[in-house]
Amino acid sequence: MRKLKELFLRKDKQDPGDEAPGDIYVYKSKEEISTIIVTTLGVNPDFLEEIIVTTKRKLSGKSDRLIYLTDNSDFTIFRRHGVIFEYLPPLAEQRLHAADMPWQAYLQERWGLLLAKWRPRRVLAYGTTIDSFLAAAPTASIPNAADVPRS
Amino acid sequence: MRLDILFVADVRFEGGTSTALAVEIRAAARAGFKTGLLAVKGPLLRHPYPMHPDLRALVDGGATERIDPETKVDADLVLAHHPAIMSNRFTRRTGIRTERMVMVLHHPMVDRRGKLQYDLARVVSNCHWAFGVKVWLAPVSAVVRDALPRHLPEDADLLPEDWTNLIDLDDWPRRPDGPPHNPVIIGRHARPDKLKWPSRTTDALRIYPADASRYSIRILGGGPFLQQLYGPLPANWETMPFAWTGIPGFLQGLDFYVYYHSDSWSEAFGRTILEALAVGLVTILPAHFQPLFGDAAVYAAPRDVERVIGKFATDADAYAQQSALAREFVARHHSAKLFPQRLERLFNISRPRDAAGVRASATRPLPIRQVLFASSNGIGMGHLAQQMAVAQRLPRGLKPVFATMSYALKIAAEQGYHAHFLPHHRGIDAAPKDWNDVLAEELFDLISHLRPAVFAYDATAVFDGVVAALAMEPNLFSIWVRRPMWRESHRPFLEMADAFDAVIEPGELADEFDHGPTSEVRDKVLLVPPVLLLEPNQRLDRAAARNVLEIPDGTTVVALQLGSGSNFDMRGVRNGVLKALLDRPDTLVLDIRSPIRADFESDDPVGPRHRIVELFPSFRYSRAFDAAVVAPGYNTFHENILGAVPTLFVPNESEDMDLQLNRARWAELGGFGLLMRRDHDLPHVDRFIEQLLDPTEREGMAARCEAVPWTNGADVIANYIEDHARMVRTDWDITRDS
Repeated sequence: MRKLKELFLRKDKQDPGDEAPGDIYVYKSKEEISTIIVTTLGVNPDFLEEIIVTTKRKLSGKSDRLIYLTDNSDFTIFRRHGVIFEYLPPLAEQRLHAADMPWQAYLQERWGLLLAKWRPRRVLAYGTTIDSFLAAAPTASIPNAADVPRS
Repeated sequence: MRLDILFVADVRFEGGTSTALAVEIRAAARAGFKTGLLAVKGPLLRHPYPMHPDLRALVDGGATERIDPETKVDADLVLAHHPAIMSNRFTRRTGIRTERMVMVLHHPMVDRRGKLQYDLARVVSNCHWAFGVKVWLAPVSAVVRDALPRHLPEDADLLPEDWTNLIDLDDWPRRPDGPPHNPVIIGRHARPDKLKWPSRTTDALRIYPADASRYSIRILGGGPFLQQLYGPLPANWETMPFAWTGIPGFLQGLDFYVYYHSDSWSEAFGRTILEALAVGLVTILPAHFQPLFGDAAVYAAPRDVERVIGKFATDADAYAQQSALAREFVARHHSAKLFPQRLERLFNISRPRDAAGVRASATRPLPIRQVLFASSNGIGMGHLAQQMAVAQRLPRGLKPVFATMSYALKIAAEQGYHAHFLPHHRGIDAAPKDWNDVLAEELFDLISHLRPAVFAYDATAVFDGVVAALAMEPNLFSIWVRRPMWRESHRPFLEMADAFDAVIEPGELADEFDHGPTSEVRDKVLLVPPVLLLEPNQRLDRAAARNVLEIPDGTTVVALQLGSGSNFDMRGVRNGVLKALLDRPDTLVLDIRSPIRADFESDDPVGPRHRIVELFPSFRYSRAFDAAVVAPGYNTFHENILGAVPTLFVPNESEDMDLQLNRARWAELGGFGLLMRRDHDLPHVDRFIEQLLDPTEREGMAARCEAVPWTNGADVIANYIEDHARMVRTDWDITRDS
């Protein structure tokens, strides 16, 4: 099951800059595509449109696809612009549901999987960087308290 | 936690095993014992049965405690019911310690043809591994005892007396005194299984004669298998489906209980016979039952059954005497009141002195378990809404987590649910095969970090990535909730049912109009009533809803909800309906748009009485509506019918969609609503609107809708999840998993 990430790690390609077009795992069947991940974690929703417009104009090469990583559960702005996006639950929700799982471990794994999935040639950060986002995540799940009201 | 008795059982058994267990639990509770119930998912049942209702009622009523496998339990006695549940090792560790363990053998080890029914050595070994003590074998009858090997497996011993079935006589009132009817009423009750019936047609017709002038035959637990077995059934055979409830009433309506089974079947005991005897029925059986029921029953060969019936039917005294013998036998040997004495006699476990004190401390909180709700739906939200209906009905102790492909994730997040987003391949322009490989890993990562007890998947399409992720976690109980009304093009998904432990089908009011692929496999799924997120009585009242929506007094409000139209162009319908409605000066149109609609072009109201609004769930405000024009998707259709909103249904007839036309036809023909088809009826839209807004017509539709009986299937699904979230599985062999 973990072959995707293992493949990714074995090739020591955690440095996104090494990626070449046509080598994207989730686009195996497609050719000549490269990706750039644009993180917008913690960005005020009012600024998302400007970020999307700007990055689309400045970053999109002929073979580039932009992947926006957001922690905003309202996807309207991304859909309106017809862009690809991934979502991570924001810190407030991680804290709200801290007992559900080891968030930091999960998000680190999730980020690794997103890198393996998209193999971006570049990661561009608006707002909180992914490293800060991961560092802020609750570190371990609190053992399940018995029978507390669900949130 | 300290318990007197921990019952261990597959709580899904339909028949005598669960009934016998329920009697023991109730008897133990009455005697003041502190007990718990650990549910096991054994290998015998493949159908997604829910927990037996008697057992659920006992748990809900506090007679016994539901035990989570992780709960630390010290039990004086572990009482496991049915050897099949221990055919494999427990697939997880439990926190149970005990001093003694009894395995009640409800079934002979070998049947009458010598076929092995369970591997006793394996069962004993698995019990020993699970509980670490010697296993006392407790056969329910001499039939079971006699089938045991002379040399028992290591770590096993045999109880000196049989663990006979018990019955609560208060639940089985005597049949009214009096002679048999004319024609004589003969009945029987058994699971719908060919083995429970005589092998030969000639015998069946001797035992249950076809002469309608003399006999009426009532069969509880009939089914199509009887025609397969015997061909066309006699006209005087009245068959009824197997039932859990109403059995005493059924038996009281009989004169004779006559039970014969297949030559291949070995009946360990015959709980239904005991129930018939308890009611005082004259009971006729084959001779091999005599060691079990003695003089309480009458024994006869098939050819002699009519003669025996004739004798009792014409001799009222003999009938009364035999009836009394039956009841007395049950009271003497099988009364539930004997259960505490049995425990004391065999295990020196005596009744607690302060029964009330023990019971009062019995209820303890259970560890929290996660339920992962996964759903498809890119531009829609029907599956997510259905899952939220279930999630909000889960009991305390079960925590819902969502992983959805729906753009409506924010609705779950805004309601405080823990939610994750899994992009669909269309949303990222990926080939399905490439995407499925990634989806499998994304889901597996989430599962491995959350460690949910139940995975509930809601979608029509089952993706390979989902199947691959589930295959990695065989202990995760997986449920596929899929609605009916499929088109033929969806048929390939049917075979994906094997990837799940259970399939649940939320009902359709219009099920008679569903002849799609899922209708052919309905016997393999758990059918539940239609599911609604919000129940009709949870809506705002009319005044409050109108106040929230700022509706002027005296206005006729029509809700318009035609969907995005991305796969079926509804622009013509929308324009036509709007014009017809707005031509009426007192009418206001609420054009309800999905909060995740795909069309982002500006869309201005066509006039002051046309309001474009985003409402979720719009049903909350539907008492403000005088009528509605909607596309009959599952949720909207059931909401409008069950909420008695007079509605004109305009089906989305795209090949991608479910059979909305069939739903609308059901409503039209039953007088519950009106049907207008885009390509057939649009030129007549004015007439449809006139009919929709006619007060008499609206009143008639609402009245018919209000008479539709309904309970919320979401409650049933929530209960099902609750029952399976804390089961220990033995339905797969963990020693062979790699």
